[in-house]
Amino acid sequence: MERPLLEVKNLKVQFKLKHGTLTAVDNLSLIIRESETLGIVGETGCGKSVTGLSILRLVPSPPGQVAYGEILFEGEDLLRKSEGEMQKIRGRKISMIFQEPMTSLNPSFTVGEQIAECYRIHLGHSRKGARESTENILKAVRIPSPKFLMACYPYELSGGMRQRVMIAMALACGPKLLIADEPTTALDVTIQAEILELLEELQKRIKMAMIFISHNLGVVARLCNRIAVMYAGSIVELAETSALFAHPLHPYTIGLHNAIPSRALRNEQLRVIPGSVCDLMDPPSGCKFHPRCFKTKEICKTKVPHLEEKISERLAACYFPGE
Amino acid sequence: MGVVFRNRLAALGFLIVLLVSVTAAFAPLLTTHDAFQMDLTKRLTGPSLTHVLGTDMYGRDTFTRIVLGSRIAMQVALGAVLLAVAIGVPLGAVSGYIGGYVDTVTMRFIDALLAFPGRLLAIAMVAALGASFFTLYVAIGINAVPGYARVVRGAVLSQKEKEYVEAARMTGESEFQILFFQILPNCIAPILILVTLDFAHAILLESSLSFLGLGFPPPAPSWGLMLSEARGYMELAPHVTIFPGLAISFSILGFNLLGDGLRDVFDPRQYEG
Repeated sequence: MERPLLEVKNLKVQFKLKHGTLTAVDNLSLIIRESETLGIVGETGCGKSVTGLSILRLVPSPPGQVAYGEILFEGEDLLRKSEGEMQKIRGRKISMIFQEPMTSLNPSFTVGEQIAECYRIHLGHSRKGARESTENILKAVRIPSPKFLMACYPYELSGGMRQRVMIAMALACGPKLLIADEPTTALDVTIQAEILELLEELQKRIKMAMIFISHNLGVVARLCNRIAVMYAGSIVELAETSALFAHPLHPYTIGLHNAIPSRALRNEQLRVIPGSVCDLMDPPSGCKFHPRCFKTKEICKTKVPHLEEKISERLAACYFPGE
Repeated sequence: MGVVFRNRLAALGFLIVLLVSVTAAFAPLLTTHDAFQMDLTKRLTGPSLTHVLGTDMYGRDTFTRIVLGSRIAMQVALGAVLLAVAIGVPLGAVSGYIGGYVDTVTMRFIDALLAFPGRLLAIAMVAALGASFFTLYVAIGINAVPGYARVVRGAVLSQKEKEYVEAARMTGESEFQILFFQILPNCIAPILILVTLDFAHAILLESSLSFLGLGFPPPAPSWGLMLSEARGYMELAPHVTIFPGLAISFSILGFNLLGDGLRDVFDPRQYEG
């Protein structure tokens, strides 16, 4: 098997707070192959974003710290790199786009200056060369009149436009991996569709891999080859998109699945998962999902299930997988 | 800039500041007499056509001396404020950005500086080192350092949590680049307000020092010195003290009005409701 582009092994990220230690990501392993799209889904606070940030080593520290694990990118452990080496990787080889396009651009500079900055930092372009490259990348993200837009300040743009600019910035130096942290959450549904389409197209064109973080199963289903479902800092299920939707294995995935509102069931109540997300400072023993699970047995309360292959190519962290 | 002019007082302040600055810049072209030429036959004459603002006790033309005096006032104020910005801004920025012990130590140092009576410090410094442009810059500027350090620290603290900082980090910028080229440009507004207000303070402090005889020695046409020299003749010829006094008040008023106007403009709260 060829070497994966990114391999995360047993990652554990903790936040040391005044009143205890919060484990945001616990024993997480995943691999991303070249030009594939991996979706990470899960509810708020389950560690999706922290996983993305720790790949770029951008977890705010203190209080956050990677307690354990390896993050191998092109065979090299990112956790062992110096800050200077990481700065060369960020934006050049691994890029990230954020949830909040409204505030992710610096209000004091024009859009053109901000994108050009990427070229000048990483590729050493001259002022003029950077301007040309900026114009090209803006065309690539389908901005109608790039010259005009480059002279605009962020407050003059709509949310969708700003997200395009953020994407342009992230893709400026042709990264190998793009981490998209809920890039469409703050946008209208129609703009969402446009941005997703754009990401899909650009990804094919520059052949990069993508980690798509979202809490929207529909969006992920459309975009991703494989999906990892996270709960309370760990991956509970990892499978090909079609398989995951056809036959979810983990009870949490099944619960998520049932909770998607559908037109056929419009007179029924929404089938929610009982209870709420566990306290990450003091997680339940055994399987973290057991207090909310519909098939909890004794073993679930005492022993932590590991992510294992249950059926061919399908991983789940559960003693009783399947419907 | 248009917004500044909608505020009438700020516009007035701006005009005064402009007038004082232009006067200082082109002083030699505006004078009508020699500022140092004494003429004892024309002591303490009132305003007339040849001497617009009259003459002082040595028969020197008051208008000329006030015009030249604006140079001293503005130059000292400019030097002092630039020095304060050059020290205070990086200090506050680094302190706020790094936080932790660095922040605590820097801010306690700033507090100590703030606790020291500024005027006294300036008097002590000028008395010890003698009056020159440089000692006046330092003596006056050092008093303004804590203001910049605190204001910039506060602004950096609020800016550094914004998403664009995270985004800049994502594009691989170094911490130095982020602090000085991403965050600091967003802290310009409070710095600008403080600069304007500190100009007024600096002019006043320079005049006070000169008045106490600690500024430039006579016959320098410093406004404070002119006041001090003429105060013995106040009953005989009040105009000799009134005009330099007016020059001081007028310039300070201008800077204060402009500063207050800028604060109103930059304060986003005024756009609400």
